[in-house]
Amino acid sequence: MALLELEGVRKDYRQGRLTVPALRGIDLEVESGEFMAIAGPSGSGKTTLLNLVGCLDTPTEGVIRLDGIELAKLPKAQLADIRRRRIGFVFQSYNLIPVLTAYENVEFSLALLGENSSNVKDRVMRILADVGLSGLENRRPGDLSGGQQQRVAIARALVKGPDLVLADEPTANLDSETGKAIIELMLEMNQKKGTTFIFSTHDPMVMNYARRLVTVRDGRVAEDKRR
Amino acid sequence: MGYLLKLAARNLWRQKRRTALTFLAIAVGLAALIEVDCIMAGVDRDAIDNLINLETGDVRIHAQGYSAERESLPIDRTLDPDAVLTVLKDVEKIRAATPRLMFGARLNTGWEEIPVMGVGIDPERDGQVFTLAEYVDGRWPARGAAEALLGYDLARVLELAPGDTFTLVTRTRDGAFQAIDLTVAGLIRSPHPQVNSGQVYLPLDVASQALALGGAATEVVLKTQDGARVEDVSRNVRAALEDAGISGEVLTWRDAASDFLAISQSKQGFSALLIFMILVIAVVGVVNTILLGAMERVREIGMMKAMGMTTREIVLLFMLEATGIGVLGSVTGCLIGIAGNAYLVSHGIDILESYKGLDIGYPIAGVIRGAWNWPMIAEAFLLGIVVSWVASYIPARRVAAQDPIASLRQG
Amino acid sequence: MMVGTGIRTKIGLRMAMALLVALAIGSTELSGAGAAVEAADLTAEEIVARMDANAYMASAHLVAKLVIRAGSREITKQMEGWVVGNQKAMVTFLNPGDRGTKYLKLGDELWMFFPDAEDLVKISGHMLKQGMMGSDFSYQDALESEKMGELYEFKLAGVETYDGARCYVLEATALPGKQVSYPKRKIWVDCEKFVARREELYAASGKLLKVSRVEEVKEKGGRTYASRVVMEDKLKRGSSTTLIIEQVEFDVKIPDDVFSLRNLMR
Repeated sequence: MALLELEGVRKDYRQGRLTVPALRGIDLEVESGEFMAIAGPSGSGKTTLLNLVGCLDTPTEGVIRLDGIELAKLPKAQLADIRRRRIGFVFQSYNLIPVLTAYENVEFSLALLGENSSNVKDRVMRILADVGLSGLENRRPGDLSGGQQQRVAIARALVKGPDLVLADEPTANLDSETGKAIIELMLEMNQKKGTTFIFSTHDPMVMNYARRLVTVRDGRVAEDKRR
Repeated sequence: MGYLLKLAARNLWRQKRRTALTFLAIAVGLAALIEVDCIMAGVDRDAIDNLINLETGDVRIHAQGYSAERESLPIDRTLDPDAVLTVLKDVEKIRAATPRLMFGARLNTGWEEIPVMGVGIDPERDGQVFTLAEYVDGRWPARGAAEALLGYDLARVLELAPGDTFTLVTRTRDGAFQAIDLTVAGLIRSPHPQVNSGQVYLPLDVASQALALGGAATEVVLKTQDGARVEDVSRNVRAALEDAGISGEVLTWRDAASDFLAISQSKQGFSALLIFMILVIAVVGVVNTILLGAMERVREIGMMKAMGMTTREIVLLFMLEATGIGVLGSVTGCLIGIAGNAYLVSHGIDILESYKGLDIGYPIAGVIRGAWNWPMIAEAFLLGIVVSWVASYIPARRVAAQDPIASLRQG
Repeated sequence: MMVGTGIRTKIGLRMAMALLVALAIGSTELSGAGAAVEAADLTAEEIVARMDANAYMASAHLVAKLVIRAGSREITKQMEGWVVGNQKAMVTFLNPGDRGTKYLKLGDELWMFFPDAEDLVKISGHMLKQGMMGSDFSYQDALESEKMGELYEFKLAGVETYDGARCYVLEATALPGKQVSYPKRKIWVDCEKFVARREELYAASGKLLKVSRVEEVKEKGGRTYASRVVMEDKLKRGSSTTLIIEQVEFDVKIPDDVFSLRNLMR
């Protein structure tokens, strides 16, 4: 069974009296362990798709299943729980908590799960080492470069061992060198831990790293290529 | 909860200036509340002291039916002081007792006449119950002598000084005019304004004879021993009088303190006003802090929701921040309040100083001292915290209800 | 009662009382020439009885003026009064400041009406007895309808010439059990007309409180009356009240409704 199944997913937004269709019928299956990019011009519906998959939003029509469970049928609290346990988020603008150190930002992810056992520290330190931030644990986001911040964000998403990491334009705010390093880190994590990654991008360099490239145009899957 | 506390504390620290401004405003309000209450408690205490020491004693005995007509100072309901004093000898926990005779009169100097309250006192016993003697400038009148003590303000208005003579015009028990010629033996400068402005003290035997009362008094006032409950003593006195066949009314100073109800009420009113102001300060400050904080942290809130934080947790986070402000405000306010209280209790406020150059002809004891009122301080402490906590609920709800997608899209 | 009203009441009442008292002591009927009786033949009781009898009048209607002096201040009040015996009296003030203020005495009841406040006050019970603490007059004084002889024991202290007239000097002491304002009085009674020419009022302590003097006597319709009476408060320097009767008619018919509450409030 696929990790993620989308069937005939439509999403309309209301803008005043107008109904603006963002997604017009998406069918997609994502297997566990995939490293998948969603490409497409801005306004094509990439972010909307990620929001739906990330349980932040519900489709106007169609079905989304995570591990065979239909998300639309779950109550809000349970959706929050799924986000908390099974999904990691990485944002374009990192969105770290400015008052917490790198270590604490990562730890926060576990704290939300109510984990406070002695191995929390090991886990946080290990994942920070994995993303190449050893020695920078006690820095606050303001004292880190953009690339370093995004590494913290990736560590934060991964520390809880999620089934799925959703990254919305993770490299868009970074220079190409750093962007490349970040996408390589994501790929490394995908291979090492088997975590499924779905990320949106319009950067061809970043797309090149993807094992599967889904192109969205006008709210429809225009192309679905595997390599 | 632990990580929320840490986060709340860090956020407060991040906006030091805003946090400080808000909690200091609350602190100042709370400190003001504590100071005002301290002074009020002091005034209350002084007023009660004055009442007991100069007017009512701890417990007093009247003839049956006196209290109901008290306002008109009736002299046809009197007691035989010797009989009452004899009965009191066998009642426990009484330190001293003295008779007094209160009557209405007009003080006539030959060119002016004003209404006063005549007070017949037993020159030998009065000092054991009342502190009047401490405030006398001049001589204490002797038994049987046509001498009087005058309130300082009264003497000032009438331009009377020790050695001057005046006439007390009144009516005897039978309604006949009576004119008592008296010499001013001394002036009273007490902390009790009414004593200073409207009272004439003369020997009880002189007054009683002049009013055709044959030595009778309108009250026998007693001082209880330290630590004795006035209610217990008054109960025992009542029983003893009953056994002796004397019908009388036994009252404690508390019964007379009904006048203070007005003071207490205005005190409550003032405190309520202050509390209301603190509420407003706290509510405005806290709501403002939360809303500003939320505006700056829109994306942070969106991210937290995306990461699976529940609305409840976010509400809790903001309420913790507000409560933190309340705690800081309460601690600071109470510390300032306690420091201020310590000064007010040890030094007091010199009201004469404040009125210098403004001759109000009111030389009452110049310093008002505060009194500790720890329950009020505890209340103020809780007030700061609880108000901040409660005030934060609605804005925190609003903040937490934001749609994460919209929040994330911002910025 | 409000303090303000209290003060007004007191001042007004004092004036009204001055009038009533003056009427009581000031009018007498001439019993014809040679009616005078030799002084030495009478006892104190007989003198008082004649004085009481002569003070009685069936009725009177008068217009009078009161001049009140207190130190350097002087106030003049104008009033009109109707009296029947010693049971009924009505006084109404005419001067601008007090116009419409009225007093009514009916037996042992005393009523007052203040037009500004449209306030009708009955003085009774407790107020009557206490009066105003130590004031010149108590309400009780106003209602004292008993004859002097029923309240006091009299002693003839001698015969003196007072203000050019031969007078008996009587010393009055309150009878035991009688409630009076002045336990002692001294009265100079005209030997011929049996009119009090001077009266001294004493406190229980023996201190002289007040003196009333008849300064002028007039005749009208065969009656002699004191047309000018001065009352002095001996405790207040320079304080006096002078009553001047400007017009008077004796034994006139006065309709009964003059002495009614309805008239009081009109």
